[in-house]
Amino acid sequence: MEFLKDKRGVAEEFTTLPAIMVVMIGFAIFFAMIATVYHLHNERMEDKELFEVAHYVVSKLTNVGSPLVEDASLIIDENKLENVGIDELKEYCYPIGYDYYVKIYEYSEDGSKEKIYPRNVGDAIPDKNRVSASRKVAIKGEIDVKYGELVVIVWRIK
Amino acid sequence: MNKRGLSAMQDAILFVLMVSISGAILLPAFTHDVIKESYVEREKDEVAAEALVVLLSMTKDEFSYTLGEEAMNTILKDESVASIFKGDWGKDISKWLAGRTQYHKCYGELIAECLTSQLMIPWNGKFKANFLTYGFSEKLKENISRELKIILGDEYDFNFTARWHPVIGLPFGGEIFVGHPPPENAYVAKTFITIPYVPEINGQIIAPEYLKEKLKRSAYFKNICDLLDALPDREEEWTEFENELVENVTNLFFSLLFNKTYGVIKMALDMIFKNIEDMLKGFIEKAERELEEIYGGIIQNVAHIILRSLAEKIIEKIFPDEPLEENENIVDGLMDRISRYIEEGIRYGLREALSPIRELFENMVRDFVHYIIEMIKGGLEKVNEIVEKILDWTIERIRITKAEVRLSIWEV
Repeated sequence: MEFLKDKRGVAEEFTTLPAIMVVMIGFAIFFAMIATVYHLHNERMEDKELFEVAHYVVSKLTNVGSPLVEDASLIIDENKLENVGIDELKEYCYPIGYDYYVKIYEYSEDGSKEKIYPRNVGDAIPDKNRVSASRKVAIKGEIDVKYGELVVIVWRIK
Repeated sequence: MNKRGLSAMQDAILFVLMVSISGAILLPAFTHDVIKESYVEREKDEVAAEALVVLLSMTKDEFSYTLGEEAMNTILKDESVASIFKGDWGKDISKWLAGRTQYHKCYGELIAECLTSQLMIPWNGKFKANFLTYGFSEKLKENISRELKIILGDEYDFNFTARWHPVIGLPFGGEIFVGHPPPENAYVAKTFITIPYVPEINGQIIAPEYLKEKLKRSAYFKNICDLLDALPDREEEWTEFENELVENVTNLFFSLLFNKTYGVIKMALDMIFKNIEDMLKGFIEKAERELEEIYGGIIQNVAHIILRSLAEKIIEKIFPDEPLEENENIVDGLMDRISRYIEEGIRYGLREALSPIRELFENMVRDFVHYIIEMIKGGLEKVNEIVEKILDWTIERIRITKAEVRLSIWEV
């Protein structure tokens, strides 16, 4: 029973405390990492959903059947832009749980860009948590067909 | 030293090491957003297709070029031409007389028109025989390049290619290339445009069923039917049967190309000549109108005299052995000479191009015939169905009313 007399065993108490501290810090770092990754994953899944919705809206608005398109996909009828409001577009394409805004730009032959839809209306778009998708389109006027861009900005309704 | 005192610390260090490893495993989740990257990649993939559709649909307010600009400039530089026609003033005159402006035409139409007017023939490599529309091709290329730069912005470089080859595999028809050669990782979009479609060219209808009926009257078709009616009984006879079938199918296809009435080459040439003739007529009418506006009331025939002397000069320069006859019509005379000049080129060009093409085509036919023989041996097809299959396959080698348009884009 020699080891009972061995007083060096007391030293064990002093090494356990720093070891527990190291383990606690390790645990804290590990859980912080897991939490951050989980949070990032959630955020990205939300972004993915927004991307998908934005893509869906932009595809739907530029394909045949859309109130903006007449003859063929990707060809926007400029005459229709004056009569079709954002609300009408939302009646045609309304993803549940999301809201969106549409902007259409037209490019002239010298490359300058002009917003042609909606005209004279302020942008009612929230500052955060929004995603945009765009598509190159041809804009058919009275005689000419010009190059343009349709931009859809999507956000989640709280 | 009591080593037991250290064991707890060793466990802690091991634990920290495990946490570090899990951190390293989780690191990509912090730094890379795969979902976002895949969406961005998808959008880029769609950019090429969108840009191509948009470009082909876009119209040009005014598209101007000078008919036979190069030939005209060469003639105006000649010593025999009065000095008044030289320099910028001469250029202005050629633009004024031979300038052609098309209004609000979409790029799809302009590309189709350009492809069908080039008359590219396989002679010394590839040779664009229609010197009159060289300026048209160059102006169109400039415009396509400018529009694509606006559509794609500074982010992408591009290569635009349009090809009209009425016979698949034969470098005859028209081609347009704009931009730099694409790298391997380019995003590519491809579509087809309809060539100015005329259902009838000089009494011949461009429809598969019509061509099929014509082919059925060919002697080679009769040979094919006879061969299929008397199928070999012994295994060694099949090789001879295959060779004969390959030869007759190849000849059937070549008769579809070079027949003097319904041959595809002839139909394509008729289509091209009609295009060139329309351009020339438009040019003569415009030039007469412009000149008559100036001289009209004073000297009625002066306009025609000036125009005729200019046309004579052009013909004399291009065809020195065949000057314009006194009573010869300008358009007819020019067209007659151009046709003969081009036919000669085509005769030489096609002769040069046809032997490798025949070899290539025979290999394609052999593969197809091999497949047909397997079908016959397997008892999977009736003879009349096989005959229809051979006709369909032959007709499918022809693409006279469609041109392939391709846009490759890549990040700068």
